Amino acid sequence: MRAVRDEPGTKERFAAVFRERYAELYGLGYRLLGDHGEAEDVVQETFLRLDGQPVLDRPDEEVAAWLRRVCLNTAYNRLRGRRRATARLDRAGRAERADDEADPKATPLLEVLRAEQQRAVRQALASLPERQRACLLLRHAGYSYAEIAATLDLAVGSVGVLLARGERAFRDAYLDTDDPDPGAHDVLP
Amino acid sequence: MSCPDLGTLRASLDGAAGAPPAPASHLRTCPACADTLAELQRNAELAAPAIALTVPADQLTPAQVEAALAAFEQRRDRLAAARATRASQAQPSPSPSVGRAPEREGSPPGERVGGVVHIPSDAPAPLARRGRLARLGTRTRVAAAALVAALVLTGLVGTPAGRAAASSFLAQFRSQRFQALNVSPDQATQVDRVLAGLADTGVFTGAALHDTGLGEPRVAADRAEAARLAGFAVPVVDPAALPSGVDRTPRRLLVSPAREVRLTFDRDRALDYLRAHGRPDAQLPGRYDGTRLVIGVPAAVVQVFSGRDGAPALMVGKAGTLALTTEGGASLEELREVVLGLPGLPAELVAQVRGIGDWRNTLPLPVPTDQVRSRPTTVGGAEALAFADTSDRLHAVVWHRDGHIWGVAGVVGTDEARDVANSLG
Repeated sequence: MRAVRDEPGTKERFAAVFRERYAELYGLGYRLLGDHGEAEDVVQETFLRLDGQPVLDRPDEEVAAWLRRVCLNTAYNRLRGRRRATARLDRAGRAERADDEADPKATPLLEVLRAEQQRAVRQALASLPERQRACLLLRHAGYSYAEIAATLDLAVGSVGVLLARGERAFRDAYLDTDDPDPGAHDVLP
Repeated sequence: MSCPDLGTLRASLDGAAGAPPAPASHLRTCPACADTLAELQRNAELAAPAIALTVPADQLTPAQVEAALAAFEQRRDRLAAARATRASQAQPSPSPSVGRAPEREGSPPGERVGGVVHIPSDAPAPLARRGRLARLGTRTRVAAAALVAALVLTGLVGTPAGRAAASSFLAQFRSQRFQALNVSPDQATQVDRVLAGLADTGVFTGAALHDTGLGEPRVAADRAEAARLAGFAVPVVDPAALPSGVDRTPRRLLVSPAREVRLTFDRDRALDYLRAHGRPDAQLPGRYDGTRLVIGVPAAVVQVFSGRDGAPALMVGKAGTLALTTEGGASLEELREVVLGLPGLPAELVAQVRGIGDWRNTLPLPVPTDQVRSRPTTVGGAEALAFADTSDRLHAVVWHRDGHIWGVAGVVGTDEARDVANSLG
């Protein structure tokens, strides 16, 4: 495996990709993890994996899809495991609150409300099957069906059904989980 | 015609390329598809704003991306060096694989840590160590900003010069009422910059700047536990006073324990800071050095009520009062005057703080003028402040009574928030 540092042309290509994609990947990582430091780590790890990968020679959109896939997988790995995920989500929620407390522009109670909502959303997302979660996250981050398909390595025609099921699962997780049968009134197949 | 499949129906909501639109004629004659499409629409409309809440608050700047690239390249070079060293050491005397531990970035190859010799592996290094440091850095900045912000926001800036406090060990500030401070985005940025400068240059130091000691909220099982943790009674919220669409009982009880934060003032570094920022003739008495600012952050309890969608809709909070004292050669008033005179603080904001008459008992609440508006009101005869965000969906009211700070906030109307407030005994 060749490393980019050994090939000047590749190094420049790598740096260009880094500049082009860093903020986008950071946004994806942050959406899942809710922690600035962890989101930065996930993106750094993603680019470490890109170092020396032949995919770097592929067209931009293929590199972007590869990066998104690795970034999401890396972020998922950090959330994996119920115990770890719960602890991390709690920490993420607390981190949000701590950040909010620190914000001299914030009105504390309103910010607590926002932090609570973020915690509930991330907890619901964490409970979804991996591909549904990725599909949901990507679609509501503004990616096209073609980009989602490339990222998740599936046919464009399959994105809609994955999204439909993901949104239903998200609804069930986000709404009152005390409901003994939250899907009782579903009409989706 | 046959019914479109689920994916096609969902894609039709987005007008996705390649997705045939759900034919209106079919939907008119097929109740099952019409119902499915309606549910898909509801689910999408629930998910979209909820997931939008997780977006980072601020966009990364090009400078931040460049800094990330520089950090990445340094990290990659360190890993490469570690791999090269490992390879050269492994050739003459291969180490047994048993007992291998994960690579630690930055550790010299073969470094003994906890009785285990760490040998880098081929896989990219786990980023735990770097991440911990990065988060610590973030937290440090957060803590520093928060704690030094407390100086500014609790009236530390704001009185005429030359009026020293009589006793440096006497409690010198105790919040008993509020006053709104209007802060524009530009002013907030200027304050942030000054606060970060004070922390970065060590003008204020303290262990509190290096941990997460901001009283992380805990979840209490019930009101009794919350009261025990907080040290005061937690009010029962009258269900009859709650707005429709809000649960009658709290879904969560969050408790932030009381804590004391100490910051030490470094007189020499403060002089360096002032002289580096356009005050070459700045002078500070030597007795100021080492003065400790003691911030008594009160315990707080927040009862979280959910709305119909299960998301938090209403918060009812109660906290103790915030207190400030100093220990050492400078009084609170003198230290406040130092902060007040810092270059870079927006003059209009400082003037607002100076305009607070009873500064020893008045807790200024910063109101970001681009996001929130405030107005005075009353709750049960007590002075209060009402807040609304620019969308007019979020309302809050805070007031002081019986030695406690009270607050109600949520996705409710302003009258509904005040009704809940008035019901709290």
